[in-house]
Amino acid sequence: MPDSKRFLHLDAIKRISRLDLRAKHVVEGFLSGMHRSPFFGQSIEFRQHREYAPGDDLRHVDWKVWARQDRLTIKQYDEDTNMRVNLLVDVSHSMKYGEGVFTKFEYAATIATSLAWLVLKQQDSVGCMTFDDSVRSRTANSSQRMQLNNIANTLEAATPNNKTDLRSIFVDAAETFPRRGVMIVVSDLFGDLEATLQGLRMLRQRGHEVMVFHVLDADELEFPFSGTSRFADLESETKLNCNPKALRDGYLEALNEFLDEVRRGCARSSIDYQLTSTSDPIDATLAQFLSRRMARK
Amino acid sequence: MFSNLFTSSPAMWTGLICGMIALPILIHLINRVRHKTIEWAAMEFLLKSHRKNRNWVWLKQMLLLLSRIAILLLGLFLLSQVGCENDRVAALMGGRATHHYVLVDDSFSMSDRDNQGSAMDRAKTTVRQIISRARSRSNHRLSLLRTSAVSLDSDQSTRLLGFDIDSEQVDSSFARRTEAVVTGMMPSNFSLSPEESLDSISQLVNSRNDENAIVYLLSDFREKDWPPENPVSKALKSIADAGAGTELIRCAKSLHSNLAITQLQPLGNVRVAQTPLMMEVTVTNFSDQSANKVQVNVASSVFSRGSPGSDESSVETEELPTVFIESIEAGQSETRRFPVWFAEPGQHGVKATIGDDAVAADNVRHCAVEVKAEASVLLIDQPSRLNADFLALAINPNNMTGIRADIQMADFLRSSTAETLLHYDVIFLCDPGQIDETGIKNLRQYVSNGGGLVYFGGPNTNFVFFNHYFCENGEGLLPVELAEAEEVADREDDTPADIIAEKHPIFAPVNDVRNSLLDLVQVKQILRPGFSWLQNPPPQTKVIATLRGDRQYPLIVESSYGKGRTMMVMTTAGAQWNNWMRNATFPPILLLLEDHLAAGRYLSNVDLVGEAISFVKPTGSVTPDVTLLSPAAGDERIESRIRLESTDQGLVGSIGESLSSKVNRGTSVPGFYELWFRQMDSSSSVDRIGVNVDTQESELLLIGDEKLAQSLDSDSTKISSWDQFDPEPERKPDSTLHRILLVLLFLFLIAEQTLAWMCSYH
Repeated sequence: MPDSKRFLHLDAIKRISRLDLRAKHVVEGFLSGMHRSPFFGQSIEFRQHREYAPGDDLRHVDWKVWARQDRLTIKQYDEDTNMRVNLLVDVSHSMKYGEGVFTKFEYAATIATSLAWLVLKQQDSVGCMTFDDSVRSRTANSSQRMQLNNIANTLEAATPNNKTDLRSIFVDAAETFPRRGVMIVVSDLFGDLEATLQGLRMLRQRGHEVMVFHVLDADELEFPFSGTSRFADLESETKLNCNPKALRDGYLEALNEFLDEVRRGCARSSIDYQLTSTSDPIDATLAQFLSRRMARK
Repeated sequence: MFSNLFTSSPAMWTGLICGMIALPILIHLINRVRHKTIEWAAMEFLLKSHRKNRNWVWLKQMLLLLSRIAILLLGLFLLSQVGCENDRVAALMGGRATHHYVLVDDSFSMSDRDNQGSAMDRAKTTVRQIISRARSRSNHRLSLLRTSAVSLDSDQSTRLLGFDIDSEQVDSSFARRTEAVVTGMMPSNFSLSPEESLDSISQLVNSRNDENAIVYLLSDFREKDWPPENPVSKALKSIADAGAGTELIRCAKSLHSNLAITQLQPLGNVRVAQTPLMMEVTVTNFSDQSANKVQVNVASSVFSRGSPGSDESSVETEELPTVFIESIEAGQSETRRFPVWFAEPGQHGVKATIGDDAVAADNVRHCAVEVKAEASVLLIDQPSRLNADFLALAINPNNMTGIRADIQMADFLRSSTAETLLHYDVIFLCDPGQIDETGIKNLRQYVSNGGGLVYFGGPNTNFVFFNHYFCENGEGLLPVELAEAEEVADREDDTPADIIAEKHPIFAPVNDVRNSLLDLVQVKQILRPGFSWLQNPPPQTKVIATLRGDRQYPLIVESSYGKGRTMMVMTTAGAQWNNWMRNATFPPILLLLEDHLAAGRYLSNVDLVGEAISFVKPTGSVTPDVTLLSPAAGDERIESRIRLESTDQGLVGSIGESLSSKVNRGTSVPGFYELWFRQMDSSSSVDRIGVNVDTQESELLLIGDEKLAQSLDSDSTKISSWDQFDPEPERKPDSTLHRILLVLLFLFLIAEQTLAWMCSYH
């Protein structure tokens, strides 16, 4: 059996220019590792029992009933085709940063497309919204196969720009998607942290299940710079001349404090939170995230 | 490389220090300008870190900057050898300079030559090495002085040093600037001690408290110059006591053979043309081995009369037979006599030379001889001429001696002048009786100026007059106090001779001769001195012949008066009181007496190079302007003018700048010096003076290092030789300040690295 994971090196994925194809590779690699989608059955609700008939899958036998009544019954489920997944992808200027294979935006787009592929693969509907300080594009929910192309095209057309204002975006998303669904936020979360957490909490209060992919560049996590440098803020005119090594400890301290705040805020609101670096393999990131999520279920 | 940099000007130093301070700041600023720009998303955290660490980062960077500046400055100071002997910063800040006083012995023994060059050549090489040593350091000065360059000022109270290089700053162009001076140093013809020069340098060192002095003495260090407790050692000790370093550098290491002509002089005082004159030459062997088959070449020069510069002036040199000396033992002298015959009267020169050896200056000697057409003596007698005729006959028998006897009466002395009497070599007073007071005065002046006087007694002697005008209580021309005339008893057969002659030049024909003819002389009567005189004769008198008998009355008494010599003969010149004039010994003894007494006119004065030679001419005899022809290197002669000064003694002049000069450069070259006078009748006359080197300098025996060290009063004096002299400066141990700077540099380097690491510049 060919090991499709060998194609999942970041460089190889990067070379695939179309996002939908990229997502396909990521997901196929991911599935071939897991054999089964962790989403499988998650969108199916219990309907009734029936008598076991030869040929039925033993995995569907309800063993509790067999233990109480000493007869074999099969559990039957109603497939939920109304699960609505919304991808909220940050396209602010800060997402433009990236010194490695991917910029943060490219990495976020790949994650978003991969998740869309997974969602569509299990017949659920998926929508996508890009934003910076306001909503830049919307792709309405759909479970059509073409939806992946739509989302990919939307993301490919997006250009990182402007500042981030997550709170207003989340407010907008809460109003735009009144039905409960899954909100997957892919962002670097740079901005007013308190307001961001407030927005996430509001989404939760509206009944949405919220997942956060916190995308940061490896440079932002490690701050490996040296030599006299001028740092120019991507989202403002602020500039700073400094010796980065002299500020590294303070920077990492402030960053870790920020990450801890984000992590604590998500945990308090029962939000699945995944910090990911653009240097991490995307399939591994997805696997780690979904495994942890499945284990929690 | 750095020595040139650090011997630069204060402006260069200021630039260096400013540069050292500005360099790290400039690099820091350039680095800030040449930053890379990073577009950054997580600016919030960076700004937070910057706000938190801003002061601390600034402080660390400032400390880093200061430590780098300090390192550069410390490096600069260490390279400039701060705190060391060669502290260029201290020098720049007006600190103590180092002054090299180089004293070169240029006495003529420094011309001591072997196959590899002369001692002076080695001294020049060493001077260049000293310059090289001084040039490798900063703030060093150098003065170069030769021992012959010391003189006294007009009042003889202050020494004047004629530095060849006078306290000049030693810089990169110094050697080039002074090369001509060093190359031009030559051995002089003088024999000089470095004492005066070192004394003067000692005074300079004591007066210059703001410098470190090093005094070098470059000499050949002959043993004769360094006896125990010699004044040179005292001068060196004085310099060492003043805090200066002293270094004796030997420029001669081995003893070379050296012969020198130490004497050349005429023997007789009757110097008449066409009469043989005996001269003697002495050659001394200053070696440690005997010299064999020494040939002395002798030549006489005849100077024709004429004025300088005219065709009439010419010199004819006649080679005389070579004087041959078979052998001269080491350290001994040999004297040989040789006759010289001058055909014409005038000033003649005799020059003796020997073959080349280590020192050339003492291989030649000059002697000027004035030859007259005839010698004159004055005989003063009574009109009866009972004495003078005998004397005249004995002085010039058959006109063979060239001495003309002029017989006059006593009145002649009164009517003559001192100048008239100067034509006579000797004046014979033959029982003259009383002489006019003016005549006595003229006689005194005549003898004072070197004339010879003989007084023969006789029956005309007035004892009172004699004792008053001639004896003058033992201080007169003839300091014999006469008492009376006394008859001498007839001699018996077995008694000794009447005249007992002492050892004296005039008795040379009879001294040490057994049964001499003098024993046949009979003396009948004499003038007897007083007993008080006999018991206590004046110190300037000497009895050279006595009368037989127990009392041994003086017969001939010799004395001196001024420059002249006198003799008192207690008996007559004629036959009245003795029969000596009929004895065969009378003419030769009389001639020797004349020669002996005339010596005052021909004082054997050896003029040496470097001495001021003075001369006197009678007032009104010549014009005050004199032309001097001095010898020079080669056969050239230098013409100069001398102005005579009128004094009580007459017209006085001297050859040389000043009589007070320690070394008179006017007589620096040995040879014949000619003084051309213009007489009142517009004719010219010439005096010639032979000037020679001082042969004390010919002794080349070297003093050993140990002995030299013993003769020095100072233990700090370093003794070395030219081939041991190290042109590289001696490295002294680093000072405490230098070590502190090194430790500080090390600490600052550690601090800089630590700060750089803390500032994350690694």
